[in-house]
Amino acid sequence: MPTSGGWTGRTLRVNLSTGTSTVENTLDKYKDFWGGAGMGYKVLWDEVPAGTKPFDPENKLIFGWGPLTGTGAPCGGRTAITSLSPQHPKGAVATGHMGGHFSAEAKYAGWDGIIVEGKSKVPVYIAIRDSKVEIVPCPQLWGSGIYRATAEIVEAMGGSCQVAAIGQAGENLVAQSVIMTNYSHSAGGLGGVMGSKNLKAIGVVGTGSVQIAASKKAWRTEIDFALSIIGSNNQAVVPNSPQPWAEYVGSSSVRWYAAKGKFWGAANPPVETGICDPHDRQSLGLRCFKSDGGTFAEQFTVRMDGCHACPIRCHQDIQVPSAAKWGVDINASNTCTGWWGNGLMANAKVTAGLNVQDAALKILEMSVVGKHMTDDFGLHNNYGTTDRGWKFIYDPDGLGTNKGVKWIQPNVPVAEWTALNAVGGLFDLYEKGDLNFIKAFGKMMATQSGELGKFLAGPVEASLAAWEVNSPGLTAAYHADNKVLWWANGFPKHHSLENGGIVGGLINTGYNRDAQNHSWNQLMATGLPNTVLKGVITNQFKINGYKADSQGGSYDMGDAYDPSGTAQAPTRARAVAAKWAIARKELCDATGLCNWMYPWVPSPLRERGYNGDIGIEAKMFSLATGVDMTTKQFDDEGIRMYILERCLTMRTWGTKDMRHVHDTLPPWGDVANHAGKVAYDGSNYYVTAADWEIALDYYYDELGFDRATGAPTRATLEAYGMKDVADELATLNLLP
Amino acid sequence: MSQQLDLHPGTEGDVVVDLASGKVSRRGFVTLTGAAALGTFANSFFGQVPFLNALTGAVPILSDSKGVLLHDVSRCVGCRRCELACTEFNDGAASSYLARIKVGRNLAYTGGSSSGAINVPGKYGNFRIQADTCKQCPHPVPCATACPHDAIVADAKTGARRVDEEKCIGCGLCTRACPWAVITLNKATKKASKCTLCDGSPECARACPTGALKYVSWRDLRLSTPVVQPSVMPPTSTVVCADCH
Repeated sequence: MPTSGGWTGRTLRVNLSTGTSTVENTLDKYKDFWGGAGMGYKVLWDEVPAGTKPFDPENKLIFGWGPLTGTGAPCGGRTAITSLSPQHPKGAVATGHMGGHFSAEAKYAGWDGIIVEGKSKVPVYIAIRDSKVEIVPCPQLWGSGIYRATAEIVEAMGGSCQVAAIGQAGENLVAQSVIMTNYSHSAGGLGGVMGSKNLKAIGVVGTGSVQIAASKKAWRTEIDFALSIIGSNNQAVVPNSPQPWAEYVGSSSVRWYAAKGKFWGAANPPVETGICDPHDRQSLGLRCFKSDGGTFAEQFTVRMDGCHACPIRCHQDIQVPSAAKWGVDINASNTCTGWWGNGLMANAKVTAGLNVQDAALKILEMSVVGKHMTDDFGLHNNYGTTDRGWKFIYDPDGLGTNKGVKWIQPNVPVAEWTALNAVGGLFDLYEKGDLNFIKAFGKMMATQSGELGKFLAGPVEASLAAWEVNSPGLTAAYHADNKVLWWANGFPKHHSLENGGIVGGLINTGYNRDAQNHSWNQLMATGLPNTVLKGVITNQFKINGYKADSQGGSYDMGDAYDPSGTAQAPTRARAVAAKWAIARKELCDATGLCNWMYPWVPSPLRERGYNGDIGIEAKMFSLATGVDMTTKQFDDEGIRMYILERCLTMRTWGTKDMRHVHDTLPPWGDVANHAGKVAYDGSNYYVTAADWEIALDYYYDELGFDRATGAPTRATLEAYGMKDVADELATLNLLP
Repeated sequence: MSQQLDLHPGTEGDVVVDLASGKVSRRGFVTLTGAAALGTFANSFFGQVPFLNALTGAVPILSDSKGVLLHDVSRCVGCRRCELACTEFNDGAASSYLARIKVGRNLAYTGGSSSGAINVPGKYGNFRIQADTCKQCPHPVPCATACPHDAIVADAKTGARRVDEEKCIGCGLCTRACPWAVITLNKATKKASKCTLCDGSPECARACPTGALKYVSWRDLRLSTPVVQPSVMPPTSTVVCADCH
């Protein structure tokens, strides 16, 4: 694939066992997989034999990004880290995603990806200064948190240095651990893999450039267009309060919060977000103002934050002076479930006896304490599952009586149970609403202290199985509980049936962790009226070459859209939508773009009939690399990557019967388990078990998978240029 | 024959040129002020006048810039779209290191310090991010003064101190002379990379998504911005400067 831009052409491989680094030609070896998770799948398929466990030295860790990383393509600051996952019961492949500026700096250093293999004898960090790569012993950093490690490495390497590091959780092989960069960006689930390799961090400084193949004028024109149709976070395109320019007003869940009178209140002087007309390029970064602490937190907001090259800013930087009394930095930054403390303690008596103002402040302090606990220890809350799981085992009936007795007491030694209940113990802190609970909880998880610490730190399915011995029925209760929101096969749901009905459900079957896929789900909160949005969806797919399903049937893609909280019966259009959403997640990873922003089906522009452009990624890819590609071709590239992920999962799992072991409907998704509920009546998002099977049939048809097993067929693999994969699967009796 | 040239009508940045020798010097300025103005003439050829030759002991006096970039710390969100616009639309390649506005190096801890980061600028501190920008210094312009090849000149239209790539040999002295370290040596082209104010429409300011960057009439930002490195001057320049200072 001849290119004249985008890629640097060089991929770095560091072997920690031998202490050596080598350089590979990116496009010689990874031309069909580009970068990101795609590159990760290829490395794991080619080099990591079946039977390898996540913490084995033979496992590899691939830090990937892509040809749009480091360019001015908006929202191009993502890093995809791929490995065998310690969180998954089978140790199957999974990808953790982090934002920040790490990938751009690495690209400027001249690298399209970093493959880490082997295991160091002593704790080390990898120091990358352009083409110079050093493995630096760092025993002084082992045992320290991410903040300290980052500070020391930046001091050693210079202010431009970007660091990806693990905390004590990763060092201690905690399954629920992260790799962290830039203070508030974390890749979930893979911190332990770094820990198993004695790798504390990677620091990188880059002084090079990323070439753009197109002319300066053509590139500038395309970037200008992109910035004209970009929405707010999750491509919300309608403000959630009336604005003089806006035809519509979205609900409170639409992430376009800016308005006159809404200030970054702790900025000095305060910054008013204002009306943010979409044609005003100088207010792009003001429109989101996603204040996770609600309106109350606006007064504590210093600014909004986010990743390299992203103008939208979905992270919030707050300064809460009163948090100092809990012994943490008053400055804190994060987004969504990264503000962990609030979720962890929400049901405790935190605000008892406080007036409204003080109660709101204490809730915000919970978020600050939780952020620091999480991001310094390097813990992963698994899309809220750790919070929800903790509440489930501690207070399963939600009644506040006999706390811990049902599930915890039978599984911990008497001494531990006594300590948990003692004055100043974990349960006592929780019941008193003492925010030191959050720190104690984090330390217990990060150090895997006691049986409760091990339970919370471990892979969820393994932890449940371990306690099942003394607590029969625990696993089934956990899986069935609507509040836990466990999907299946070792991971939580993440925008599943409740966000897009069948389409969301199919997407959630796709991977070995929560789907991390927002391609379709973000249509749930654009703010546009459903009729307008459906028209835009239909139009965007038609003009980008989507004309028929695999059976030759025509459809309007707008009909695949089910508003949030509802589901309808499976159709082929819904299967096409799920396939497309999967492709776009892979393509975001492989190019370096953000799947929390792309694709852009709608836009905020009334004069465009609110049309975005689902072809814009392919256009930017073509311009940056010099490799021309249509939208349909682009999407097919993403499917190739996904199919290799599927094959990798089958090989690790040792089964081709993905339909029955992997793609199953969780019990809470089955309408039969909800008395009085009727499927498809618009009041709920549950489906029938029979329809789930029909949905899988349609989905497999679109992807070229065998209906009986859900495995890719030889014909499909060969059509995507993966005959070698088909041959290996055949020798393992894993080909349908 | 010597004349005082009003290079930018409406500004105070007048420069003295010895039209006979084609040189300008501080010493010359002292002796020749009061001569008549030739504004239109100067606007057309200023960039080409060989007014400096530090190798022979002369020091340039550049007229003040018309404009300067102003960065608002309270509005900056650290997205670095300014660095990208600067390099992609001017150079056809994206880079942070070569950008004429520097944000990345101040992102984590301003100045690279990690000690006691709480409440100092940076993402790991109090979140405020300072972009380092060219101050378009008035005389003595450190980068221009340090250049032994007369390669840093005032742009005819904007007065921005820009690099004349025909003359620049990539010695890097200007990068050491700038107190704010906002000039970078491009190792590939062997030319200094310095803010030009983009012909009066700076790409960085256009790209800023929060209005944190403004292109404003020139003002002296030197004293309000802490320096980030000692300004290193070649002896030939400092000797001449000592004549007047």
